[in-house]
Amino acid sequence: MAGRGSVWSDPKVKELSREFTPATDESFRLQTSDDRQAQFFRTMVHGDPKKVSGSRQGTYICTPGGRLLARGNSTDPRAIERIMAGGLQAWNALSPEERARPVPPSLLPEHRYEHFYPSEGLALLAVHRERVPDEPNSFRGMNLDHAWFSKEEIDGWWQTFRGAADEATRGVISSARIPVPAPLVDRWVRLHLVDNVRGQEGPFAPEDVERAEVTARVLESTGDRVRIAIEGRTRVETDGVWKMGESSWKNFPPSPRGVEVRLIGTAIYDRREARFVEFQLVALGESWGSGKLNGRGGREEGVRTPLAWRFSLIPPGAPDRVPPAFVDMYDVPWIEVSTAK
Amino acid sequence: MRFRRPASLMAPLLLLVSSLLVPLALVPLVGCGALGSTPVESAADGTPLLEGRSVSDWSARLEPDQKSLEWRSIPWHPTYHEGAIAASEAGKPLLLWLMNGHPLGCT
Repeated sequence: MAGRGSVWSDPKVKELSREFTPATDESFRLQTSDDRQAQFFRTMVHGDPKKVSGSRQGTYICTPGGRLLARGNSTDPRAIERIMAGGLQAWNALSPEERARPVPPSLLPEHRYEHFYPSEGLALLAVHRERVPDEPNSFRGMNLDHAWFSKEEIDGWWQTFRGAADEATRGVISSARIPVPAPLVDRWVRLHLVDNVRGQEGPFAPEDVERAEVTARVLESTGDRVRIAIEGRTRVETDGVWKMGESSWKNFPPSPRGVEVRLIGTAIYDRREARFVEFQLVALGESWGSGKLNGRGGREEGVRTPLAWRFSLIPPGAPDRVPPAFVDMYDVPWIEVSTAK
Repeated sequence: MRFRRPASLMAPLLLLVSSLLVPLALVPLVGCGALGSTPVESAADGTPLLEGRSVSDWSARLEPDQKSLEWRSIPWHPTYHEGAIAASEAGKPLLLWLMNGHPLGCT
């Protein structure tokens, strides 16, 4: 995460990156998956397709055809600059035929979670931040994530407040708070309201959920558009014991931790388009404990850190299809789980 | 068979319940720093507030500053193979940045 600020914000590195086609990806999948693409990557780097342990995070310079020219990992921009310069020098020394070697079919993936992006449903970009102690309106740190909901899930949610929306069309605004379908709330509580501000933390299990109250209230209905308010409170706490079966996430250090939030949101559902055309949700809360891999390892027992999360709509057609961190824990029929992770 | 309370008992019961609810309704529904039992409050137009601020207000405050998003100004392709295909078309070497957890998401 540190490389975002130290390396890839560096003016010299950014300038040098123009000599390349830049791409990013998730390294754990490439080093541990059985997928054809992951095996190709390991063969390119190690000359052998077998899975590798440890970390393969870092910067790689390679040809489109799959020849490695340089690699390394550092948060020092000058070190990455040297790797990039070395890779560029190696590229320039290649024959035109080698540089033009096409992308081999074995570099193409068999399974990617991006393939299950809910184009017709609801896709949200999440910003995770930490509130500055004693300055509750100031924030520091930043991580990103994504939250996905299928069209069928959103259709189901719409049906829960459709009656109130019809009433609102006739001018009758009810103050009734209508529970958001439990599976959607459960996903938010266990897999998205997680303390990932300083780095990845593990997900929570269904047994860890102590409070998951999220409701919708119709504010107005005009034409095809129904405006709703979202309100809720959630609390989740784990003893650190892994409870969700086989998963790479089970290897997070087993430590007690929890998150408690209050949340509000507003959204506009379009009846004709059968989707949310506006959506923003904010959660304020606290986390305690740590799986120790998220930069909270030194936090003393009982100390709580104030946090905030913001979820906003990814517009239809936007290029951002990066899957949620815990997409493999969604446990829904519309996402085929890879055997790799 | 569903039990129904006799009507004669309903009126005093409703009176008792409403007498308890009215003072509660007068308590200002203002958010608190600690996560107490106070529900979220609402603005005059019914939109919810948290610690006295609207979703839009909080949303703007939570926007990361440009400096912390500088790394996103590099036109990253979001996957290894999309980058390789684009590099092939551009006739350039591929610069691949890998992290545990996607660099463009939760890393």
